[in-house]
Amino acid sequence: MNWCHPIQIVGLGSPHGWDRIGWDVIERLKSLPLVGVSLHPLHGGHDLFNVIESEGTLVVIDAVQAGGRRGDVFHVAWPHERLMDERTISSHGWSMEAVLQLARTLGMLPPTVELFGIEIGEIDANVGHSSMVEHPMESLVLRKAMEQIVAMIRERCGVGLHPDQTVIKSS
Amino acid sequence: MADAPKSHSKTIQVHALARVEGEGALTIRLEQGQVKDVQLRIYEPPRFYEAFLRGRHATEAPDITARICGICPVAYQMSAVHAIEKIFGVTMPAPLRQWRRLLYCGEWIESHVLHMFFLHLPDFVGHESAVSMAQANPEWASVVKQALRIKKAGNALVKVVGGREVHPINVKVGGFYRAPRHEECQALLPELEWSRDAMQQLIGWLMSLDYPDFEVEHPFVALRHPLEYPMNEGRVVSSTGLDLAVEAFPSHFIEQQVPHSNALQSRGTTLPGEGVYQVGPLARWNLNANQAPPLVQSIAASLNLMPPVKNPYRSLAIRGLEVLLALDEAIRIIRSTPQATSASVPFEACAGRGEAITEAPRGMLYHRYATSADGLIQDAVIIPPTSQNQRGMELDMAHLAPSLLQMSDEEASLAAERVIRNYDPCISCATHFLKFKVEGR
Repeated sequence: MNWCHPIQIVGLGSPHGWDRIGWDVIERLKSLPLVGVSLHPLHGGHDLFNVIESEGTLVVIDAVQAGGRRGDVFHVAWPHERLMDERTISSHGWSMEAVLQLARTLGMLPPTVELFGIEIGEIDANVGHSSMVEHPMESLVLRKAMEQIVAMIRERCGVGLHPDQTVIKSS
Repeated sequence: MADAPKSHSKTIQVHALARVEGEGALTIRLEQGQVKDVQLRIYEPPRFYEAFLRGRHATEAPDITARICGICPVAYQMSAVHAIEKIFGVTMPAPLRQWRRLLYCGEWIESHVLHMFFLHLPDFVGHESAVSMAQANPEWASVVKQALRIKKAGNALVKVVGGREVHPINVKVGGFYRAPRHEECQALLPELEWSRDAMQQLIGWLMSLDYPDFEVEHPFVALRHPLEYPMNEGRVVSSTGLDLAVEAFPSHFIEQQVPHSNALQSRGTTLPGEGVYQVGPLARWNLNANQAPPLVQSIAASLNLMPPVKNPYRSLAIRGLEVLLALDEAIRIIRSTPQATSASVPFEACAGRGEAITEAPRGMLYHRYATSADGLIQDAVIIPPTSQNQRGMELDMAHLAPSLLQMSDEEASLAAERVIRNYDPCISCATHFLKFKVEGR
């Protein structure tokens, strides 16, 4: 089913290690001909308030550590029971769940909110996944996961895949 | 949770103020109804900023020290850049000075609003968070929504002048890397004006809340500037009559190591008693209210908030006055300051020693550097506001402690957290996770 417009797609992350995978998905999406879609690489949950609109669709992509295998892709509609316990607000960081809860309470959230997560597993947070030389297998697994999400988003944005197009890249 | 025994002795321990910059804990020990010990233990490992600044070029100091805090990076940039410019003999042209004050206004707005409405306010309405508060009451939800919009205006200000919202990158020794574009600042005016109107109403609403009866006795210390409410510069003054040049700060204030904390505690050597003092909004306001714009003074007078205000819980409303002041100042600066013809002024690195104090949202932030002839940093000293307020927080807690005996563990935990949050310390990010352990003695 296609998402309603306007569509806001947010990648959460930081420049460090595997945590930047949400930003990488946004970068990949920027190369596609998506119409009526706004793409936002953001640092943290609180930044969501700067882009949230009360109509259409909000999509959030983030690295997750949910006990799965590295590269597993999670796709859930919000709210979701697995996220309920993550409602922290502090000076230095707002959890995504807290922001979404608050935004819904304040009538700022669109009707459709969907979350995509990429399992990064238990790894050294300082390892940079852009280094194909140092971490070729990890990078390949995560890149496949990224491309899986890109394909799902592309389909829901109303831009179908040409049969000849290769979605998953090997490098 | 079951009530604590109504004994006259107990030890209250707050474990693991975990996360980010503020890792600390709290212990209150009472015996026979008397406070025996209060320790705010900041056990976060030292970060060695002062050490690894040595050998770096002085022009790097503003950007390196800005990384100390994600909430007040502008304060670190400003104290660093002023201290270095003092060494290099840089005189800031008026427009660039105004743009720096504008940037500081943005940080005050976003930092104060975040603390006031999302961390501090829930204490006053009996909720654990802004989320549950907004869910419980439509009026409170409206307040939170307005606060979000005001904070967004502050964020936008920091982004336009500082280059980005978090850890801005546009400040450099000598001025800015890129002169703030007048038209970009002008575009911010509608939201700043809306925010100023909204803030006036919100301060009145804040004053309708119940505030515990309590007044601090320790002196207030802040900057004072002859022409403006202090942000970037001024003399160091106190409610006990001190009036010092910034250069004299080390002669009157020292940092002490205490066994229970990795954070140094500051003392005023020429202040009464053990030299405990308080910096931050309450201190600034009590020492500088007459320099606030007429609009702010008028609102304060109508709400009985003119100095002296010694109740630390009222820092909630005082921060509101400072947000209003920062919004009013930002509007004035944008309207009155022309486009800078140059983003910076030239300078030459040289050997010397320079210091600066600016007013971070949480209070005075002192930087001192010594440089070699080629501009390399040989020595650095940074004294943040939280270390200056740390002992004052302990004393406030000691004052409150006897009343904790009659409270359940949960009530005692919340009451203690409120005292800490009055100061908006950098460890406030962790105070939401306080876990109290009460032991009968």
